[in-house]
Amino acid sequence: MNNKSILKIAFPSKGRLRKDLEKLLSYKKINFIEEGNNRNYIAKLSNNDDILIYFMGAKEIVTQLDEGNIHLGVTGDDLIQEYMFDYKTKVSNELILDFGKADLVVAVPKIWLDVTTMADLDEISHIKRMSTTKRLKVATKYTNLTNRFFSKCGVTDYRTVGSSGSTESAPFNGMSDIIVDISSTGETLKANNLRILDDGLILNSSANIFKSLTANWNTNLEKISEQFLNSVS
Amino acid sequence: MSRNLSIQELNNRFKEFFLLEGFNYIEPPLVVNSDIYFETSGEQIRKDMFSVSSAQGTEMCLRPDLTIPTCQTFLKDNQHFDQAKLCYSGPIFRSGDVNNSIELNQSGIEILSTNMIKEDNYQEEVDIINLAIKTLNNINKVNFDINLGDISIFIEFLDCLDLPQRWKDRLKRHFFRRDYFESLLKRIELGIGFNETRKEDVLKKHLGIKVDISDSDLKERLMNINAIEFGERSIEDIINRLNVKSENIISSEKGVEIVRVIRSFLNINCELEQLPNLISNFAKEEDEHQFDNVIQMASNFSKKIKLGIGNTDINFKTDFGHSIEYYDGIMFEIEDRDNQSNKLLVGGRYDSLLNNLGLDNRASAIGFAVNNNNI
Repeated sequence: MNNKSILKIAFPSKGRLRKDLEKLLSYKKINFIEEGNNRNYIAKLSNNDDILIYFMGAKEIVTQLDEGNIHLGVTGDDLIQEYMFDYKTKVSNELILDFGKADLVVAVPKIWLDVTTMADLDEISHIKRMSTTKRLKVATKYTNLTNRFFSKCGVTDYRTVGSSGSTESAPFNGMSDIIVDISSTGETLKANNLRILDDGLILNSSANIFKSLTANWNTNLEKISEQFLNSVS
Repeated sequence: MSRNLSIQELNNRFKEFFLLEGFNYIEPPLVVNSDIYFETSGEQIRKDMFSVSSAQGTEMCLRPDLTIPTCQTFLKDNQHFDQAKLCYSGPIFRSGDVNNSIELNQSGIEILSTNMIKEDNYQEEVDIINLAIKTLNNINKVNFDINLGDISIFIEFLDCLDLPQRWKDRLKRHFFRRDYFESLLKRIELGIGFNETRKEDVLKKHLGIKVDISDSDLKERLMNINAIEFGERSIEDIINRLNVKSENIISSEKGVEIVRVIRSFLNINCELEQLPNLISNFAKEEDEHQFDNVIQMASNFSKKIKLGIGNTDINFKTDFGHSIEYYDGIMFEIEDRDNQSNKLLVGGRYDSLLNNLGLDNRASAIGFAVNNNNI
């Protein structure tokens, strides 16, 4: 088979996303056939010989979709919108999957009873800047989405603080005042005495199958892609 | 003809002209610390900037404007003098507008002074507008229109309204962000407060407290949730603000009325000479508010500027403003009469910027920049 006729799809290599995806494929009676000595990084699908599956991190899938090295990729809205510049021109959302659901939200300490909306955040951040010359610190892994949302809500007196670990603990250890983070059920936030603002929903995210608009496509690949999407939808 | 001048030639022409006008030429750094832009304009300016991290981990950027680096240069040297007339020419870098070049070019002047007690005679404003006109005439540009605004007149107007101080401050602060300013007006129209800010409702919703509770008991309850306080916010701050919010309730009916008055004021758009009459008529129509201070301020402003500028037509708009938040007084732009989207020159007063940059004294700062790419 000519390499130009192989549809390259990236799947998440680990974690909850991979498990949920395997469950979906298994329900659809599609199995992986692992490819030789590739240490589980490459596989084929039992129902289609023209598809090659690459296993990689969800963030890496965003990069590969962006660069057009893969045709389709399974990853979250949150990662696409955070890490892909001008994403609307580079990918299209082909299929919304029924897993990987999570909200990106703005959460403040529970005891901040006077802060229930983004407008309150605007006011208290301004008060802080005027009285201490410091800006409100926002811990997040999603600096781009945070900046866009805060800007839309008129909040400017803040600084984002990069967070690579458990963001929800940042206000406790003095790293930040508030956080922007992914929340599936809200339980982790509650357990950490944090509260989501009434209008603090930045994004409803779920796992999706994205199509790279920068990859090389031909009629045959479009057809294989359609067959694959039909088989999992 | 000026149309044929290259950017380099324009730079040289403006430099020579400003030197003859008594300005000192400076070359502000091309690469500056990004922090000051975040401090003055917030994180959203990041999308317009070209930033890199230095080897020491400091975030640096290619200068997105020349006013801030010029002020920083002035403040660095101002232990030797407290007043300076500075001019510059050179590139600035902005990535926000894909239709424009990422490298733009400006020539401009800034008149800066510390320990300055500002008088209400608008002399500096007159001088700077006259110089702006002369600057364009010097390159044979004569066919243009001047638009003018003054944020301090809007602030005086807001102060006359029966609106909670928190909301006045919010409207002042976001005057420059048009979309958000509009959303604030819409929120006022819906009424401020009601369920979401009434103290008893907040306590019931978030803490399950259904009875009246004293501030000291509430403090104790909050201490039990979090023994440590967060950031610079004390539990007293939180309770005080909750009380203030609870008192600042405005009905939708009143909100609609206040917004109608604000929109009506921001619709004033006239030849500068007509401003006092229009403001007086506005005040007569809205006689339940006391706008005497606004009338007096607008009248003084119009008279002094008109007297100083002479016969040149100037258009005044109450809602005129720039997108950069550091202007805090007069703001003006000169646009090509044949192509009004072509802004040839922008300028204004920005006294508080020097304080934001670290100066403790009262300051005076005013200037303008020519957009050489639009000439």
